[in-house]
Amino acid sequence: MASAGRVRMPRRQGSSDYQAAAPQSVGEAADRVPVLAIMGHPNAGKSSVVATLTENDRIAIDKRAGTTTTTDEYPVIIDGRPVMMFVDTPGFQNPSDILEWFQAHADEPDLAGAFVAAHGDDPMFSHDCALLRPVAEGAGIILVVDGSKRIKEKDRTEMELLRLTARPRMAILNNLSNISKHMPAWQDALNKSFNSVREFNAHRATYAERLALLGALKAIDQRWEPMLDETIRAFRDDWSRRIEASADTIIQLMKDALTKRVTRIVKVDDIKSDDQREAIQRQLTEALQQALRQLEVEAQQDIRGHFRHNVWDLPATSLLAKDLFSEEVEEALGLRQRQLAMAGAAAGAVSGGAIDLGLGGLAFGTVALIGGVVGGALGVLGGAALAKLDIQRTLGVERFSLGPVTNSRFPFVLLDRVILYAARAMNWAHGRQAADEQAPNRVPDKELGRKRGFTESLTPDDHRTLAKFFAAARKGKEDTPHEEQSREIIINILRGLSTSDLDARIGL
Amino acid sequence: MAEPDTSRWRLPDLLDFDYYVDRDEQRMRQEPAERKHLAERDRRLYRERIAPRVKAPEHTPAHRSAALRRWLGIRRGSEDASIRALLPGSAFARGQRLVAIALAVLGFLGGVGVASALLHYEGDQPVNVSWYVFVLVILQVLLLIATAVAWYARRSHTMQTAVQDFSLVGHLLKPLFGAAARWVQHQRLAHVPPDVREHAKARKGLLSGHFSLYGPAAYLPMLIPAQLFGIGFNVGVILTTVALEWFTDMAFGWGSALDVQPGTIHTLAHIIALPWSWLFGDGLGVPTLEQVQGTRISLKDPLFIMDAEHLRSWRWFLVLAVFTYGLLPRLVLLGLSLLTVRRTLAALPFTHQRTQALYARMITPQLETAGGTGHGPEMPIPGPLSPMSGPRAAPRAQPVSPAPAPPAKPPAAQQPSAVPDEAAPTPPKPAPRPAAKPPARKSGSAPAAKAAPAPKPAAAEPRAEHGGTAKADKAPAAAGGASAPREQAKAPSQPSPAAKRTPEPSKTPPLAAKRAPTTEPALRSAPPPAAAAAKAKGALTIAPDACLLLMHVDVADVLDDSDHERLQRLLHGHSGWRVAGSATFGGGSTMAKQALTMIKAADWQAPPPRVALLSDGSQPPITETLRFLRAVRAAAGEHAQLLLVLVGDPDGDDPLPPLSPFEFQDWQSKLEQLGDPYLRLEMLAGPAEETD
Repeated sequence: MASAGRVRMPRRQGSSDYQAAAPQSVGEAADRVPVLAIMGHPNAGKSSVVATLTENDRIAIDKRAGTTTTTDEYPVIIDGRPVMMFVDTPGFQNPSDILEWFQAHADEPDLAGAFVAAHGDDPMFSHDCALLRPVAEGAGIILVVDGSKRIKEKDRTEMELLRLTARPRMAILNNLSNISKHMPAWQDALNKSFNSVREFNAHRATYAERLALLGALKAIDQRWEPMLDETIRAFRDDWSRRIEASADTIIQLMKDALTKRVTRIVKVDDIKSDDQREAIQRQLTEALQQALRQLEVEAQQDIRGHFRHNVWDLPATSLLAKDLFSEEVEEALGLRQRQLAMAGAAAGAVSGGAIDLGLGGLAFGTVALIGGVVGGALGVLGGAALAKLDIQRTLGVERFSLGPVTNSRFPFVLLDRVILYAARAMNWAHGRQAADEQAPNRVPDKELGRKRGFTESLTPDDHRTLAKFFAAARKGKEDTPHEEQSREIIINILRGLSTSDLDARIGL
Repeated sequence: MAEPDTSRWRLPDLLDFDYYVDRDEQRMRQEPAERKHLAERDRRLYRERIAPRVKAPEHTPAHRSAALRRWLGIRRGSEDASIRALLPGSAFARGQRLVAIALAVLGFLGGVGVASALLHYEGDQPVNVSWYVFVLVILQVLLLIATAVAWYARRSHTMQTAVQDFSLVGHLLKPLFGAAARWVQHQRLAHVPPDVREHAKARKGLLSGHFSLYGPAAYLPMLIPAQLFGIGFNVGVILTTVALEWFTDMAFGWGSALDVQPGTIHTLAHIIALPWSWLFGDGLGVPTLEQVQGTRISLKDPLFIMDAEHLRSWRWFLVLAVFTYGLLPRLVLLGLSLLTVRRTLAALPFTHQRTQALYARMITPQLETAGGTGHGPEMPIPGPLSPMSGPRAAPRAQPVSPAPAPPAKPPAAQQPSAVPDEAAPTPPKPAPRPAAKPPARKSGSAPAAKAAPAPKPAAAEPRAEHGGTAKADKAPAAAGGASAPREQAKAPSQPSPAAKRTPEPSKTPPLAAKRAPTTEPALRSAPPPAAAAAKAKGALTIAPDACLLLMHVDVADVLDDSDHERLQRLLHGHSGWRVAGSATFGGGSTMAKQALTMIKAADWQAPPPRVALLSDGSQPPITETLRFLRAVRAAAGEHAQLLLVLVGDPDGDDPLPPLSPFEFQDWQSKLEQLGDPYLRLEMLAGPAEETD
């Protein structure tokens, strides 16, 4: 996996030199880096498509029309070598005039180039020239149309004028809503003028859909096949590298979380009453929770970095936005009581945990149990204490120490949550930033059968493996066979998520 | 100060009018429900208090002007007296008076200064008359000539250059008026009771200090004070001259280093004195030759050798010259200025987009849309749309007959290369279009939309007769099926058959280029269609309460007959206009030119023209759209009322759905950049319309 080339997708502004990185010699078309100009009329979602395809959420996207005013390039660079380039263009401003000009100059061999030459100085046509320039310089065309709307005159004009450019071209039906009644008409109309037509929701596209789209590009110009194959391979390798890196992050998070311990030393004289002792316990519990939250946030940032997300807001209703120790999270994620009991039994010699587990199982949902010796009702999870409080008294000081986490539910909840986060990071299209999540007709996120986490649907064997790994981690044992197996389990989950075998539970 | 019962506009009224319109607009923006209240209020005012007193027929400029003026009178009359004094108009009037007086005084002082400098007399040398005459007569006359030329240029050139002519003065004086008006308002505010002051301050816009006028009225405030300055100046000069002559025994003379004969000077003086020499002849109003000879100043001669009577002889000449060449023309100009102000105000079109909305509220019958059919009893049914209803309103055979009817315009316009001669002045520079264009085009996209331009205006012509009397059209309209017009629209999808349908067999050569010149003669010669065609030419007569509707092809494509009725009803609700004719746009330059030609060729009663545009608001406006709006503006004229109504993307059964507020704002912000004050933007159907 490490052998796979690193894929970089920087952005370059301005259109002057966008082929500078490409081998320029004429006649070597096969060696040339495929350049694809994303075109369409304003607000068709061109920038969203580019953002999603190049995993770049820094591209300025706005609901308002006309956000993109210059031609921006987004090369895909593998090991320092550009393999393809997407060019985000401004929208058509004068399609009818372009078409009429094209028709009037039908004998021109290079229509786009001639048009740019003729109108380059006219400020009225600045956007049109900017978007035709890449085409004039040999770029392929990806027309983005909004499939949720009726085909308008302008669309017909644009299709026709792009057909007249005689470049390899593909059309993307970017339907961001659930209105699909116009789609057949679009398919028909686009099929007439385009080598390939694909549906692609720039706000929802997953990794698999992205690769499929890249694959389809091969069909519009055969000469690009080697480059595209390489790109796709690189993307694949890069993707599995990211998954493995994420799995490492998750394993590390579990190990850190399960060995976390907070201590506090207080002079015996300072403790005047039991109230004070309880206050100290409360503070310790709070500190432990805070430390665990912090660990989770760090792991999330890591994962987010693996999947190149910079701009990202969570809806307030998401489980990920909730507190790690809140009831909703605890109820929705982790294992069911029975699964937990079985996994715990298999894990065996987990001292306090087993006891807590047994008691917790009995008391679950009925009364808050006072766990452990001096536990108290704080930091309770699933009816059991989060961790055991240990108090040692020596030489006039008392040493309070809480941790490591002994609650057997907690690791599964934490694992579920971090996987949920990774799932979102993997499947959250980079072009989605401007999506109107309130729009009445947007594509609904997949309905969830049950609002449960990932671990619950694993096999009992996996549960046992994970429980053993947790138990070992709690004791600070490194590199146990269970750790390696758990890593495999996590990688499998993530793989399943990216190929859509597993439901990403985005709505959770 | 009671509201005078008048329909006449004065300058301050414009400011008050702006203020009230602005206030209503703000209320509507903040609270959409206000829209209904305002509509009710304005309609009530109109029916009860305005309509009985305004004689002119509705939709004419005279009616618009008078009705709006009375509306202002009523609005102002219902204002508390103390607030009324604070209105921008009265503050502006007072400020204008202050500035005028100040300028007159300034002019007077200037005149006194200049005259006393020129008449400076020590007693050893006579006062040199030539300087006096040069500065106070010749220069002033030159100035007058310059003014006259500027005025003439304003008449002959377009309005824009005229405004530029005056903008120089305007830039100097305009801020002065604003400042004076603000000062007046401030002073008044200081003298009203505290509660009124608070009340006034709470009113948005009342004290904002905007004292600017737009359009043709912009330079009016400058005219009179400028003349007052001149009058003050000349009065100052005359009084000073008279006073100096009165109190000092002044000696006047002339001199020259050249060999100038006294006779020449005498002749010159006589020429100058022509206007008054019949009244004050030689020796009184103008010096005699002898006196001229006697007042020649030569370097060596001392003053006392000259005849005292001769030396005084110039005195009345000077006074009369300044009076005749300085004061009188200024007085005439003042009169002219007063007249101009009055006439300009009377001729103001009041087609500014904000005014359009108010006027529409007044003249549009209140319609209760409580789930009914929308046909209120007092609701006049708008005339049917021309392209669709042409065939429909007449016997079935009609679909054939409209084809011969319009040989003049529509086919010509429809043939690509026939167009340029007519549409040449439109601003966008469309790419030249070869005759080969139509075939190239059809390969790409569905013909339906392309076909639309051909039949639509063609059908528009026969409708012209209905235009004026369309109210009765409803019944036949209902009778005709929806299918007929649709078929007609689709049938000639290839341009060539449409062209062949034209009546003259001689004209069938498809060489479009040749057709263009022949169009005109054909119009006059061909007898049977001539009547219709002649009508078509002048003929799309657009009644004062009717407009031309330009529909974007995207919208026109999905409308059928019942939708047109609803469309017209909604349009009537927005503007009070019926639809006299319609065309499509949005399908390339040919179609655009056709629409523009229609605007230009139409016979507009009660100009400025009224054009409503219907467009699909779900697509953001692009340059092309804006350029078309510009072209329409150019074709219709500067003050023509343009109303752009937007519909959303049809989703479901409703072909005219409301637009999302977001999309509307997008359009708004882009159209604002056009800076066209006479273009009004509306949603065709507000969200409330949904319910009906």
